[in-house]
This record gives sequence, structure tokens and C-alpha cells, in this order.
Amino acid sequence: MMVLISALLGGTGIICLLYRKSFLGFLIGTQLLVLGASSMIVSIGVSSKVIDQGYLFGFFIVLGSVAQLIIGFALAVRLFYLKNRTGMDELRSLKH
Amino acid sequence: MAIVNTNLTLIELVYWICSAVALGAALTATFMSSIRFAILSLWVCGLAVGGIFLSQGAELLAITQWIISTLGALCFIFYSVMLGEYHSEETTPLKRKLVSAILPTLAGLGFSGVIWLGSRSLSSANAGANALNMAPPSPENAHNLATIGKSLMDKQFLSLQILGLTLFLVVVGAGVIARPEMKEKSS
Repeated sequence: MMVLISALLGGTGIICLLYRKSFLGFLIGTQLLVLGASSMIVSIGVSSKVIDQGYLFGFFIVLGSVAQLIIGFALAVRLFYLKNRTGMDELRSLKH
Repeated sequence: MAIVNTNLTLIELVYWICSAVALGAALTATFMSSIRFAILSLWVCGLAVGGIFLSQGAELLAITQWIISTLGALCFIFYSVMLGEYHSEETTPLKRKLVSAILPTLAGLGFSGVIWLGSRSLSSANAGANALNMAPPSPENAHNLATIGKSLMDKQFLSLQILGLTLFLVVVGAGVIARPEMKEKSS
């Protein structure tokens, strides 16, 4: 049941990633996905009797999500400089 | 009294309440048209996941999660105000929104189903018993903070250094990405 709840949380993140049209909404989806992943790792660690490793792996995932969030905000600012808006469709313009 | 009658311990009660709040907040953050309420829901979801960690005995992770969720929500508010999205709401008609939500919902449910079925098969293959369906553990079984810290510094020291270096590079890289356009100096 613990893994099911974590999977549903990650699935909600997938829905948000695909449903939202703005870049900040996309970042919200990635955060939900990371929350589901970290809670799943901790739950599996508890269930598999490797509690320490589950906690530490979850700790690294949570701190890794900070890096992802920082780069996401920087990309949003860059996008706003270039296009004056932050829609997902404008992300392609960052390639050029 | 109800807790005693249903043999539900306080830890389990906290776990299930936090799970329900986390799922509800995640759904609200996904489908709410206002970005303000989406950010607020994401914050509540992060706090609830921290509660889940706490009920599983991971105090360090719970506190880290609470701090990061709060700071992340503040950053979301700051950037949404700066980028002009804080008061924006999607004006798509309800029927069109429902149609556009069908495929993402199916994809999300499929993702959850695949993860759950995979974890069940892994559980039956490795442990024999249905270990992943066990109730949340009591904190007496959890390892204390000193054990976690010692394990972090002894066994995972290289990973910790790599994580720190990654965060440093990310901060520097974010500054480079977000810099304003500079005109090239004519020589």
C-alpha cells in the first residue's frame, strides 16, 4: 500500500507534466514526481529492511530535486528575457 | 477511543492522514487553474510527504523535506510574481479542459499501475512474502539520527561530495544561464 500511494503521487506528477501549459506548471509537475520518487524509495527501504540505505537514497533524491529546481528557475528567467513569456512552446527557441 | 477500537496506532493514523493530504494536494496542484493555488497545494503536498517520512522514522529526511518544500514554495511565488504569472488563470473552457486532461490522466494512471505491479512482482520474487504491503513501521524500529549521519559520512562520503559539487555547479550554471544578454564589444 505504501508503494501504491507513492506511485499515485508520482503519477500525479506525470499528469501535471503533460497537462500544464506553462513552464512553472511544468516545474510543479517535476516536483510532484520527485516527491513520489523519494517517498517510494523510503517506503521500499523500510519494507525491504534496508532502512538506512532507503533514507540516504531518499535524502540524495530530495537534494537532487533542489538542483533541478534551480536550473528550472534559471531557464524560466532566460526564457522570459528572450520571449517575454514562459510558455512551454517557447522552450524550443532556447536551442538557437 | 476509535483508535483503540480499530487497532490503529497513532503512527499509522498519521501516515494515512498525511497520505490522503498529499494525494489531495497533488491532485489540486495538478488541476487547479490558478498558479497561486497550485503553488500552495504543492507546498502542502511537500509538508504531507514530510509527515509520511516522519511516520516512517526518517526524521532527518522529514525535516529536510519540510525546509526544501517551504523554500521551494517561496521561490515559486517569487518567480511567478516576477514572470507575471501569479495572478494568471487559464481561461480555457471547461469542456476543452476535460478533453485535454484525458490523455495525461491515462498516462499518469498507467505510470502508477506499472510501478505498483513492478514493485509487487519484485516483492514476491525477492522476499517471498508480500513485504511491500506491510503496515508502516513504528519509530522504535527506525534508526536514529547518529546512525544515519555516521552512515552518510562513512559509506556515502563520495556521493555526498559529488552531490555538493553538483549543487555548486548548478548554482554557477544557473547564474550563467539567467544572465542578461550582453552586447559584444567591438574591438
